[in-house]
Amino acid sequence: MPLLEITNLAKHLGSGEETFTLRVPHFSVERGVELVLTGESGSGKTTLLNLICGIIAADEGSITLDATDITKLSEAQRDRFRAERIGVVYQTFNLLQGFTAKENVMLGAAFGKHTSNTAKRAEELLARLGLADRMNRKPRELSVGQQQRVAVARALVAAPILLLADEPTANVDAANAARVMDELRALAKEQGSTLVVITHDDAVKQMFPYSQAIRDLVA
Amino acid sequence: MSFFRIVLNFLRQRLFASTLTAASVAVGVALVASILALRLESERAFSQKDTGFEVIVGAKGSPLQLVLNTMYHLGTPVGNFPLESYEKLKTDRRVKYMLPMVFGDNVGGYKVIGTTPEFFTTFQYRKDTGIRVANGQPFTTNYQIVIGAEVAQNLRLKVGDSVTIKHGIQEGAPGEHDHGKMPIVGILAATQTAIDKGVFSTMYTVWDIHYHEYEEAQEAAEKAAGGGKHEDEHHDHDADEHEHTHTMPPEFTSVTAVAVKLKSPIFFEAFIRSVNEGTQAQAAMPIQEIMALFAIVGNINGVLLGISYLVIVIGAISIFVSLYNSLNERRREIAILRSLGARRSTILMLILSEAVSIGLLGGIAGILLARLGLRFAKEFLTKQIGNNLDFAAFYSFDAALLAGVVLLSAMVAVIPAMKAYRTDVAQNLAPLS
Repeated sequence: MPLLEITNLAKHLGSGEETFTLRVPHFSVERGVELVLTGESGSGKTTLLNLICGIIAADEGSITLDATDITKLSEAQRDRFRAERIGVVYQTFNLLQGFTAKENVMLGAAFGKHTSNTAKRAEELLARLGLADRMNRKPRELSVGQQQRVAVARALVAAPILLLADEPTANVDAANAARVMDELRALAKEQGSTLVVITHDDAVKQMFPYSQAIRDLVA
Repeated sequence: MSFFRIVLNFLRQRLFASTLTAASVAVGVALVASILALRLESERAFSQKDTGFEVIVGAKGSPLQLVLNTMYHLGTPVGNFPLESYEKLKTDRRVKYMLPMVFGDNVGGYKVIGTTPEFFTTFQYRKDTGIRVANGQPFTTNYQIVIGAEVAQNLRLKVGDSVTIKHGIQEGAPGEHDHGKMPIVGILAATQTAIDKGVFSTMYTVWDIHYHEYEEAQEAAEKAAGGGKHEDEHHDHDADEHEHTHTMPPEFTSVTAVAVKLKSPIFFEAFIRSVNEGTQAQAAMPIQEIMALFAIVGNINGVLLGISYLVIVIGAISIFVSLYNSLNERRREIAILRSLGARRSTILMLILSEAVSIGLLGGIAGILLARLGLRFAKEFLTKQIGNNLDFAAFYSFDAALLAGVVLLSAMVAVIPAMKAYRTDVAQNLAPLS
């Protein structure tokens, strides 16, 4: 059974005359694979990511993740499910400016199952990502590459079964992009997370054994 | 990371705004807490129902002035009434005991009070509580001084020291004039009443000082007119030199007030009526006069309290404005938290908790500010109102005040919290262009 399976998904977007519907007849991702979803701007990449995360609700169809159809869950249940099972690395990192690097990472496990060792795990991940001496710095005191690594640590801190990365290299240079992707893949593999990277960067696409174009998914 | 830690971080992130908002709440709470504490303590201090006397007799005039001046040394005496009226009172069979007092002159700003040795024996300033001499002994003759506990402490006086009595009820009064030195023979134990602020001697001592002032004035006038009979005479007084007494004209031997204890409460009305029907004296019941005063002051107090509550409301409104205005710049933060799994209800609680924390901090700071302010103002207030005000560390109204402020803070945060609750996550997570 695939880890993620989308069937007959439809999401109506926009309002008034400017409406369109994102339709995904079928899409599945096996457990433990590394996959790249590619697509141009406006192809629906981010909408699909938000649907899988449960940030927005589907209008039709089903999204089954780890044997749970999240379209059947209430919003609060989807929030809880996301907190415990899904990690996301955003293109703009989405770090909270008032929190230190370590606190930002700890926030990744703040709303799911209560665990007492979050701080220790955050420290381990940051050290692993070369930020041992930057843990107590605020995001604005970090370089762009360092902020990206904090975002990676935050996505991994709750040991999610699915790790989603939305254009993770869009805001970093080539050297940092390669480093981030290597670290992301290594850490995901280590903790058994399935990795889905959404990108339009061909260089990133080349790093992965499997890729799928969004335009082939949507109807 | 705990919920509390997240709230704390957001407060810290907006430290300046949070501090200003909490400060505005603190000012209101400090005002209310101060007014409530002042009202409570002044009522407690002035409404002493367990005094050892029930009636004060004094010269005709304002009964409230008579009570305030006699019991709390506030303001000036109404005037004096003739000694013969006091002698007549002494024969009244309804009286259990009475203590005459003659007010005049001062030592370092503390009133000199002439009285009788019964002050140390039969007089009770509280029910079943008499005067106790802590150091030394009561005065046994004229021109000996016994001082109250506060006088001893503030003027750093001890038994054996000598004091100079100066003319006038208050220090620095016009026509200040030294009357020689008199020895302190005793220091009273603290009573937490105006007695602590008194300088006591015999009535004759006070009369004689005034008589000498009169004589000196006469001599000065004669000298100016060319007489100069007593040119080099000087009127220093001390106990050794004044074992003798001399006769004074009746206008110099008057009494300022008499504290009266009756044999039974059933005599109150008749006694007061009989005194008031006379032409030279009036009788006043302290508790009645003080209650009448509080009834008047209570209205002003209510207005002040109302204004202070308004200041708290303005502080609460500033919490609302601060939170509401911050929401625009915090939409992205809220969306990030939601993307990490925070529920809408968590966001709602987060905003409410921020408001409650600001209110609580402001409330606690306000109460501390009030206690600190009153502690510093205690000496000044005690001097102003003529009675000892003791402020407690905590009052029962503190908890109610804090609970009220917390509730108000939560109420004003409902609208910003609901706005935060409705934040569109997907829209606010979109990359900033």
